[in-house]
Amino acid sequence: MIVNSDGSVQCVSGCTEIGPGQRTEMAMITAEALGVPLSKVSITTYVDTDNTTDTGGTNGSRQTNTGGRGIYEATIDAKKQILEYAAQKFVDDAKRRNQELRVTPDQLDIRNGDVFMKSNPSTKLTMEAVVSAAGLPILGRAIYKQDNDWERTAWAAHAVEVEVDTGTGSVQIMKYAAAHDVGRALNPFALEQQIEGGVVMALGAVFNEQLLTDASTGLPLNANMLDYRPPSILDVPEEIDIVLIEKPKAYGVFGAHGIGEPPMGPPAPAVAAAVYNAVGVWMESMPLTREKLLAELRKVR
Amino acid sequence: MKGFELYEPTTVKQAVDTLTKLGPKAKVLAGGSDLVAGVMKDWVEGAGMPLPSALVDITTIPQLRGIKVDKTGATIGANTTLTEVVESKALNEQFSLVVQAAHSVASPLIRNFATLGGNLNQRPRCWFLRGKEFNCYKKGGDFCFSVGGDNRYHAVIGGELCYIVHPSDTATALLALNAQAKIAGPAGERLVPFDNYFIGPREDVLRENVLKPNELIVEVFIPTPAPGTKQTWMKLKNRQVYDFALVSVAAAFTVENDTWKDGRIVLGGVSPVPYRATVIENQIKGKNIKSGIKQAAAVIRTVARPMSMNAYKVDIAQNMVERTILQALG
Repeated sequence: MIVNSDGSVQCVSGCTEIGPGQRTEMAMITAEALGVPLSKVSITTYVDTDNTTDTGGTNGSRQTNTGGRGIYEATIDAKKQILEYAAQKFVDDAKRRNQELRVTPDQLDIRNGDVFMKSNPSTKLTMEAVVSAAGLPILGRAIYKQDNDWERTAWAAHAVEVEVDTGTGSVQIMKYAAAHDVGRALNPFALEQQIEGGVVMALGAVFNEQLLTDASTGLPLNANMLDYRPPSILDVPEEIDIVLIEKPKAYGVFGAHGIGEPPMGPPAPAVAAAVYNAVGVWMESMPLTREKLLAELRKVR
Repeated sequence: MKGFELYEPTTVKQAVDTLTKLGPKAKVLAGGSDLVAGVMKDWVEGAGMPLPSALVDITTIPQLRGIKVDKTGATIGANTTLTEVVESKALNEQFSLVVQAAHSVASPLIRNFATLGGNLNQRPRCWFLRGKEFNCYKKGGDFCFSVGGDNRYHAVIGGELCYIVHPSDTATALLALNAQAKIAGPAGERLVPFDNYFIGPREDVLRENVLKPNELIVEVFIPTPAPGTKQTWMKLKNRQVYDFALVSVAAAFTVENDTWKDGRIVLGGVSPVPYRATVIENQIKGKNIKSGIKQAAAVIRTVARPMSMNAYKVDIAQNMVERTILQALG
């Protein structure tokens, strides 16, 4: 990442955006780690590892703690340099006023874009002044390698209330709740949306989505959005409660834990258990179609 | 997509003359949501279903659009959009069945440009018909892939050679309301009740209605229902937006002293044509509806011939007939 002499900050990140706001998060991590407002931070407008970093793919619920961890450590590197330049500038500025001052970097910190003395926060320099004095933009660099014993357990609990129509085999989700240990919510709004999106995507798989092939020819039968039927907006439960549980993790950036995949796991068993509770049949395979449910119901009713 | 010539007639006569001159290579175009965005885009073709090389756009004929209601009934131009049907106050008052059916079609976006005529005449959704690798009977081939294949959505009543289900929701409702189609052709106009409008695979496997290549539907007439007629629509789908009926039921009937006086029950999604369940109507006629409908609805089982994977649709149809009638009673 780069801190320019006008105080603006550029994230150089090869992190790929797949919808839930990963690139916004890279900028947020940078702003937080450096101590500048998010409005001062921009991110490379493109992803191209000729010119941007290689963060690996946005997959495996890992981008926050790979690309995000890399940009965090690069920011810490830049911050270290800035504090050194700032300490020098405090000393130089004092000398110009014929004062003698001893300042070391560890006596300084950055907040809201200003470098200040921890002992006296009103004594401060703007980022612009510090980087201008340095003469060139500050380049923060770091290499983060994912550890070899990468193991991250995701903790979650989902609860669902269903209404089962035993005449048509329709299952209506009346209420849905998803609680996830997210370590630390870096962007709570986006995080809730990501969990909600994961639940909706999973419900599509629970009730409908299945690629069907013709047994005699091997050709796909429903390779289009009409016949494959991903859920529509009217298939989304009206009420999905998201509960964020924050137990910071030692391995996470600011304690954050990846949340991409975890919401996809619990909906199927949660719905199957709710259906069992409602009508007394265990559905053991996805998708939980009305024809399968009606067949099971015939055995018990 | 294959290229085509576009014709834009401004009168019905011009449209018929153009269709007559061009012959079967031309097709009538209205909203285009099935013909262009479905059949032509997906290259659904075969010896008996050639892709058109000319389209005659009838949305350029102003007289084909609009809704008129008088004391004899409602007249709806074939180019009237489904949204216009849904939003018509006059139709809502006396012909709520067709309004509810139109409202259950696809999505608001589609309903804004899909027309009533187009909805009635769209081609079926069978995935073998729509899959371009399957050269089935309906495309002019010599095989029906649904018989030994995945037939979970196929016909349970009246299938023969071909086991499509009729895709139109408005057709189901219009048949229940005893409506008729006005068809224009070279010899002038003719009226065809929807009782005779749809044709099954036994009569002609290559088409689903009586229209000849140089004919077009110009309007639909729905006679004013008898005072107090109960009208109810029910459509079951696997996805709530943009889906066709797994089973649908349209019912319009009159009641006297809690007994069924007269009326129609029509099912969609079960048969190659909208299926009028006269077997159920005959069973319930003159009987107390609340106590008799369960037994009457079960008669559907006597006409159903489910295939290997779709027997559940018979259960659902039976259940939905019972519910629809009871819901209409209020």
